[in-house]
Amino acid sequence: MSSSESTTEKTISGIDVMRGVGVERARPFWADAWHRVVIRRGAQLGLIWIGIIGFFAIFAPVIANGLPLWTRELSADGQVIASYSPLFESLTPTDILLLLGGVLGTILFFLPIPMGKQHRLGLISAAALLSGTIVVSVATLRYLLVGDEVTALSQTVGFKWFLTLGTSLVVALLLFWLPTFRPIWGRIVFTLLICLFTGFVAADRWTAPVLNPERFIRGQEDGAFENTFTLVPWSPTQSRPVFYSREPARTAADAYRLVAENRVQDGVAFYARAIVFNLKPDADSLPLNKGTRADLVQLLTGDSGDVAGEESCSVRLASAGVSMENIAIFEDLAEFLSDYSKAIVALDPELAVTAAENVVLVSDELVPSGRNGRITIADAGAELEDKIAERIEYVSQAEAVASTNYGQRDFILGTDPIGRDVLSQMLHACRLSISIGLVSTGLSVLIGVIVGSLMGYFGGWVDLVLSRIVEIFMAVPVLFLLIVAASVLPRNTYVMMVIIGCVTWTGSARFIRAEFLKLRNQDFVQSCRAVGLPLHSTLFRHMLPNGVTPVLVQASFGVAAAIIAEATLSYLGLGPYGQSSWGKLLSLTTGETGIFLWWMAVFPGVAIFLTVLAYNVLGENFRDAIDPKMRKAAH
Amino acid sequence: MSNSQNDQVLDPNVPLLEVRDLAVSFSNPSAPTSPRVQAVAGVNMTVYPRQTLAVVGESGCGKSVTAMSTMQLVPRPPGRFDRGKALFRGENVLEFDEKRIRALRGNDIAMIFQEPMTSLNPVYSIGDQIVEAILLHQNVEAEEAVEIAVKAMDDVGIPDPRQRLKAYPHQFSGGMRQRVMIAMALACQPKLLLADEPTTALDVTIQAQILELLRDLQRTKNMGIMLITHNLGVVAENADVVCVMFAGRVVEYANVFDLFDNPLHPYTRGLFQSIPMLRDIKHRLTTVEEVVENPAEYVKLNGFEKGIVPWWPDPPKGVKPELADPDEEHVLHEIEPNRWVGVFRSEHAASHPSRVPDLKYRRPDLQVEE
Repeated sequence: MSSSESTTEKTISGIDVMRGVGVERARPFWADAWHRVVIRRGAQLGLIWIGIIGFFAIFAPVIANGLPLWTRELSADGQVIASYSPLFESLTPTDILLLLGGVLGTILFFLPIPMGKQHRLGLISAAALLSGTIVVSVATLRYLLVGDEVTALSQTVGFKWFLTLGTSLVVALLLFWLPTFRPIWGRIVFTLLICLFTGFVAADRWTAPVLNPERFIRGQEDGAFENTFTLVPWSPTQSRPVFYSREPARTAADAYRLVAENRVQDGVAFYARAIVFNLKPDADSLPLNKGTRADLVQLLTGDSGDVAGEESCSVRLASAGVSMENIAIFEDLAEFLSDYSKAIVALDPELAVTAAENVVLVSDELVPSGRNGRITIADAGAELEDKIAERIEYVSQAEAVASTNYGQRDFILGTDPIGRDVLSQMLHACRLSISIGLVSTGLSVLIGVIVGSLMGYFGGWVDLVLSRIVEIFMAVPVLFLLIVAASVLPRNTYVMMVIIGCVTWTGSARFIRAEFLKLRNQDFVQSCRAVGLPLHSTLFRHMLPNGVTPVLVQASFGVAAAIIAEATLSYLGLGPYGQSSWGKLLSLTTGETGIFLWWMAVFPGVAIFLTVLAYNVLGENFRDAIDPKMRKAAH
Repeated sequence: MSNSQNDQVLDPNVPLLEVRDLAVSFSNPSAPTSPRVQAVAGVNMTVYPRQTLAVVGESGCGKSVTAMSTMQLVPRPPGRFDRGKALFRGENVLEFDEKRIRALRGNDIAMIFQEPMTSLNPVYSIGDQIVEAILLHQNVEAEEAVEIAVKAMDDVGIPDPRQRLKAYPHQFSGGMRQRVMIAMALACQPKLLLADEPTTALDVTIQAQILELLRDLQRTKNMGIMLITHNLGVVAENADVVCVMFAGRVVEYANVFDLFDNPLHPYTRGLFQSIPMLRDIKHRLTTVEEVVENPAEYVKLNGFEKGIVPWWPDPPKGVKPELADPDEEHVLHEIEPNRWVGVFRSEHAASHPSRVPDLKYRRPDLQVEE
C-alpha cells in the first residue's frame, strides 16, 4: 500500500464494472446484516459476553464438577484395580450431546473445507434442532409414560430402546425436510445419522449413575483412589456442613480452621460470660452494669476490639469505677484464657490443662453472686478442662484437611448458606440462562411470525380475528401466570419456556403484521405471485426476510426479559427444581440464617446484569445497524 | 408440471388470450357502505401469438386490472369478477382454482412490472430469484435451472450472465434490473407476456433497447405480448393492435396503422392532438377535454344518423342518442371492418351486434404465413 499512497487513488468506471473489472461479490443479505452489526463496539462486547455464557453453558459440566475427571482405583498394595472417568459416567444425554455438538460444531465451522459458512451454520443448527427435539420428546414421553419413579417398566431394556429409537425415527421422519443438503438422499442420511446417534446416547444414558463426589474425596484420603479433578472441583450440589456461608477466596482448609477456631473461641466466650454474669456486684470496686459487663467479656475473650483513638477496655473499666485489683485479676484471667486457646491451637493438651487450671485458680479470687453463681462458674471452669480433647480434635482435623489436596481447594466466589460452591453453581446456571432466553424467545418469535404474517398478508377478517387474539394474549401478565403455573404444573424449565414463549409472542406478531402490511403492496411481492410461487414461499421466503429485522431486534430484548423473568421467579423460590440458577443464588443472599452474604448478592447479580445488558446492547446495535434512516440507501 | 407437448404447437392463428366482457369491481374496505368501484366494465380484447396488443389509456382506466385479472392477481376481496371470461387458449382462467392458476402464472403467462427498482427482492441474489421460478415450473435439476437462467440473462443482453447471477438487485442499474425482470419472466418461456408499463421508469435509450429486445424475443419465441403503456410513441413503434380504454371500457380497437392514420373516437383524437409535434409551432396544445367536449367531434362516425355516436361518460348536450336500455350505455361496435369503436348503445347499435374485437394483424416484420 505504501507505494500507492504517492499516486492518486485508483478508480474504475462503470464500464469497467460492466466488463467485470474490480467487481466484488456482494455479501448475501444475512451476512451483510451480521457484518453491519458486528462492526459495532457495543455489539462486539455484548457478543463476547454472550459467547462466554454460551461457552460455560456447554462446558460447565466438565469445568465445574466435584467428580474426578479421571480416577484410578488402587488396591491396598498400590496396584491399579480400575481406572475410569466418574465425571463422564455421570453426564446426562444433554451434557454429552452439548459437549459433542460444541466441540464438533466449532471444528466443522472453522475447518478450512470448501463449504459455505452459511451452509455449515445451517447444518449445525439443523443437528442441534434434531437432537434437541429428540431429547425433549424422549424426556416428555418418559415423564408421561412412567413418571419420575423408577418402575419395572422404566428399567426394562426393551422399553428404553423402543422409546428412544422410536422417538428418533419419528423425529427424523418429521424433520427430514430440513434443508441440510440439496439431494434428497443427503438429507435423509444426515437426518438419520444425527437422530439415531441422539437416540443411542439417550438410551445409553437412560439413567445416569448418581455418583457422590465425597466418596472419591474420602477414597483419596484413604489412598484407595487417585483422582484428577477439574478446574473448579465442586459440583453445584456438593456441600459439607463446615462450608456454610464461607467468604470468597478461602480454601477448604480455611473453612475447617475457621470452624475449629470458632469452637475454641466459643468455649472461651462461654466461660467469660459465665464469670461476668455470675459475679457479685460491688459498687466501690466492681460496679457491674451493662457497660462494664460488656467490657469485661471483651477483656476476657481477648476480643478487645481496640481501635486507635479509643481507650482500651482496662482504661474504660477503670474509669467506670472498677478497682485496680479487680482489673489485675481480670487481666490475669484474660491472659490465661488466651494461653488456653493458644495451647489448643498449638495442639498441646498439657499446656491447655495448665492454662485451664490457672484460670480456675485466678477466678476463685472473685466473689460469685451466690450459690448458683458459684456452681455456674465452677461448671464453666470444669467445661474448660473437659472439652480440651474435643477442641484439640477439631483443630487437628482442620490441620489434617489442610495438608490434603482437598484442603487446598478454593471457594473462589465463596459458598452459599448450605455450603455449596457459588462459582460452580454460577457456571452451571449459564445453561439455564442461555436456554431459557433463546428457547422461549425462539418459540415466541415462531408463533409471532406465523400469526403476524397471516394477519399482515391477508388483512380483512383474518386480521380482525387474529388481532383480537393478540389483544387477549397481551392482557396476560407473564410473571403472574408463571407464578400460578408453578403451583399447578410441574416446575421445570421446559414448562417455563413454553409459558414465556406462548404468552410473549404478541410483540413479534404485531411487528410482523405492520411490516407485511407495508410489504404486501410492494412490487416484488406482486411479482412473486405473478411468477406463481406458492403462498408459503411468498410469505416466508420472500416477505419474511424483508420484514423480520424489527422482530429480531425485539427478540433480543425479549431474551433479556425472559432471563429477568426466570431470575425473578427463582428469586421468589418458584424456579425450576434441581437446577442452579442465578436468581436462586440471589434468593440465598440472606438465606435461612438472615445474615447478609455480600458475595451471594454481588456475583449472581453482576452475572444477571451483564447478560441482560449484553442482550439489550446487542438489540440496540442491531436496531441501529438496520435502521434505514442510519443506513445509506442501498437501492 | 410443464406441458411440453403444447409448447411446440402454438398455432399463430388461434387466439392466445380472449378477454370477453370482463367486468371487475372493487369495494372500499374502509367504507363498506359506499358503492363498489367498477374498475373494468365489460372489456373485450384478443391477443394472438407473435402479436403485441397495446393497451393505452389514462391512469385508472382499468388497463392493469384487466391484465392482472388474466392471472387472477387482482386481490379478492376487495376485488370481484362481476362477469365475463378471460380465455387463455380456450380455458377460462377466472375459474381456475388456486393450484391451476399457480401453475399458469409465470409458466404460461408472465408479467413484467413497471417499477424495476422495487420488483426484485433485495434479500436474494438475481440467480436465486430466477432459479426459484424455473424450478417451480419446469421439471429440471438445479444445475439445469442455472443454465436456463444464464441463457435467459444472456437473451436479455446482460453481460457476463454467469457471474451476474450471484449479484444482488442493488448492484444493478434500473435498466439492468428491468432486463433481469424480463429475464425472470422469460426464463420459463411463457406464451403470453403481460408487460405493465415496462419502460416507464427507464430512460429513452434503455427504453428502446428493452422494447427491441421484447420484439426480438417475440420473433424467436412466438410469444404474445400485452403491452400496457401511456406512451403513444412506444405504441406507434411496437404495437400491432391497439386497444384504447377509458373508464373501464374499450373506446377504440384497431390495428396500429389504422388507428394512428384515422382515429375514430373523440377521445383517441384528443390523445393524439395532445402530443406535441416537433415541427408544429403552437402556443399551447389541444387538451383531451377540448376535443371530447366539442359536439362536432361526435358526428363523424359512419351511421351517425342511425344513432351510432361515440360513447363518452358525459357527452356534450344534444349528441347522446336514445339508449336501448338505460342501464347499459356502452357497446363496442365494428364501425368498419376491423375497426371497433365504443358507442352509445342506441336501438341501432343494440340491434346490430358486431363481432368481438379480434385482429390477427401483425407488423410486416412479424408477419406469419396464413
